Amino acid sequence: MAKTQLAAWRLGYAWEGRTVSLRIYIAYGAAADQATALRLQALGGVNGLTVYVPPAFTRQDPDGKLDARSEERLCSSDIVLGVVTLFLSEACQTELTCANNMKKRTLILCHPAAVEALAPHFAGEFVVFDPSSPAQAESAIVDALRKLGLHKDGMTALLGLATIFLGLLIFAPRE
Amino acid sequence: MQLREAVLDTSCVIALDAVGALPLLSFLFSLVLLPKAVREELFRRRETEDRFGILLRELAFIVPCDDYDQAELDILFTGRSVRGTKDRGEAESIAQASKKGASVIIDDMWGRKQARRHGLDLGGSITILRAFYDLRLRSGPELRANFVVLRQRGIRLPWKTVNATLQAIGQEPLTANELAQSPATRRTP
Repeated sequence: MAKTQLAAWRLGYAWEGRTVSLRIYIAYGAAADQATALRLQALGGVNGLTVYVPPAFTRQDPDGKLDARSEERLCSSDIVLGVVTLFLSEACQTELTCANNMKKRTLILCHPAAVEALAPHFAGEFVVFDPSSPAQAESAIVDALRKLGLHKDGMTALLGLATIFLGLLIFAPRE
Repeated sequence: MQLREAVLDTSCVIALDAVGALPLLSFLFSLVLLPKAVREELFRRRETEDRFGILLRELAFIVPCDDYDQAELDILFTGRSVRGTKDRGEAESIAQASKKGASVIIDDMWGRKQARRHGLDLGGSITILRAFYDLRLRSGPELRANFVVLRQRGIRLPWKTVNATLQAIGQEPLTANELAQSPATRRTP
């Protein structure tokens, strides 16, 4: 709890007094990743970001079909943030592929355990977050954000979310 | 960091949903468990039936649990009668939390007393909302507004404790006018 609190404080501090108008769609890997996505949504929300997390039932559809609301939110998003820690569901793959096709600014963050699943579909398009080397992960995320060409506040906002994602991975229990 | 699991009673599910706080429980708990009697109560009420069907499909960390048997429940409450169906949700929540070593989130006074008697880690809607304030997920004015909504919805809470909580975080306590806004006819379990 204390670590999460620290992460929440850190994000609040970074964005204090700012309103960043960004619509972010979180494409999470599997239903088990939804809790991480919800935490990012809450932290983004209190800091002025509009963050959408698709419902869990989309992750249980073997065809990866999205519901109408998720499709609409995906279309209207400014940034698609992929967060994959366990495995890549069909729905997540559909979302990331759609984002690519729609030329959305996309940032895919993944745990080393998910590289194998992502590599065949999104080679070279994801950042591996290794919880055992957070410094390396942070510099990788900064590089990836630069490539997205965001304005300064947008970059700060996404960096904040990505850092928290890293924190959640570091402190999350692993099976 | 291993987050605990928690078992939620009906009134807490209704209260936290009324202020849009159910997804935030992912900050506090790895899994939120809803016993059968709680689900039945939620699905029995016309006003919550559809809503909770959707919630269970949308939030992966809120899951049904039926991992105990009637004999266990009877042993747990030996010599004490569970007051008909009214206390069924609380009783199952406590039985489930005991079995899982989970926290139990209950507002009902009888249920809270039983949870204490069984040495369970106990919380309620007030402590949960206060935790969200501590995590900066709710500001002071937002928390106050949340309690006003709960009062307007007729949610039964110990309002003296609510006001003490508000004062502890530098907010004005609910006014007599706000406290009078509760619909007298509505009752939560």
